[in-house]
Amino acid sequence: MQQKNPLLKGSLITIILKLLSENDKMYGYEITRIVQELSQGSLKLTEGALYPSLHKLEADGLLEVSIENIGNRSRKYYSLTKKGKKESVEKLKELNQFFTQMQQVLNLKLSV
Amino acid sequence: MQLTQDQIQELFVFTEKKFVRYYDLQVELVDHLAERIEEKLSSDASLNFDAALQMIYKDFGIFGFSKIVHEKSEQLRKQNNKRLLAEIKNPFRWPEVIASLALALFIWTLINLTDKLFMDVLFVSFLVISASIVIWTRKKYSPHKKIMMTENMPDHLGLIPFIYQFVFLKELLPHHSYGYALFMFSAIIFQIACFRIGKKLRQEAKINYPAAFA
Repeated sequence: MQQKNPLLKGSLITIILKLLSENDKMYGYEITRIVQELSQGSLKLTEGALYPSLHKLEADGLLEVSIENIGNRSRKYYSLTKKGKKESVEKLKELNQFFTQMQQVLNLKLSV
Repeated sequence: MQLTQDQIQELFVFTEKKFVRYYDLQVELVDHLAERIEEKLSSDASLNFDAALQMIYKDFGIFGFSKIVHEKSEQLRKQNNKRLLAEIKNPFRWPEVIASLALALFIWTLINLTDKLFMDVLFVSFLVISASIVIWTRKKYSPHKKIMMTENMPDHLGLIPFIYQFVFLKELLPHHSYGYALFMFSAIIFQIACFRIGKKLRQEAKINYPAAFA
């Protein structure tokens, strides 16, 4: 399943917030790689979607950045702000509620 | 397999050729490209650096880096405007509110003691001095490499004379009025907020991207 899937696209922000809530700090490619590993290769985030989402979350004050030197280059790490931590909980709640509602709707339709 | 310093420099040149002019964005993209190239070269010994780079660049889609640059610029504009708004609120918080009240009183007294021509000359001088400070500061403290976060600084200098010309020079509001005083006061508070936010952005950029100032 590629990132073009609208379901994944709609959940990208929640995925980023959830991953960052479980890790102190992460960089862009690390997020892509972990999503791929966790989904056993079935979900692939494109760079064209990931970075604009990270930059949006940063602009919204949900993420903060730090730059570290890694060998012969610099790396930009993202971590959750206080506001981001609250938002990650909210987003997960919303997603769970959505799954439950979808299940109810689909089960109802199937049983009709 | 780690890339050499020369290869990292090649990646910086590559991003610039692909219209990523800003160092802060280049740093992030170069790291991304470098790590992916290192992975590719480790898993396939027959690949060379250039071939691996081209394969990875294709993954950014037909628009390449342009979508990322455009979105980043938009987000920065929004972020800086939000920060500017927060900065504008500071003079109304304790203890700065005392200085703000003194400024308001000073403007009101000045308006009542002088005529409109004097105030017009004073206001235009204020705008010229402000603009000169902005231009001078930008020249003196600008990074050697372009940084998007400081290039998108809000200073909106053109907005104040524009409003002034339409509202006041056309005499929609009388000289000795609260509206006139409020405009003068707001313009000064706004300009101070712009200076402050510019200073903060430059300081942050210096901490995060010292290589851009070296």
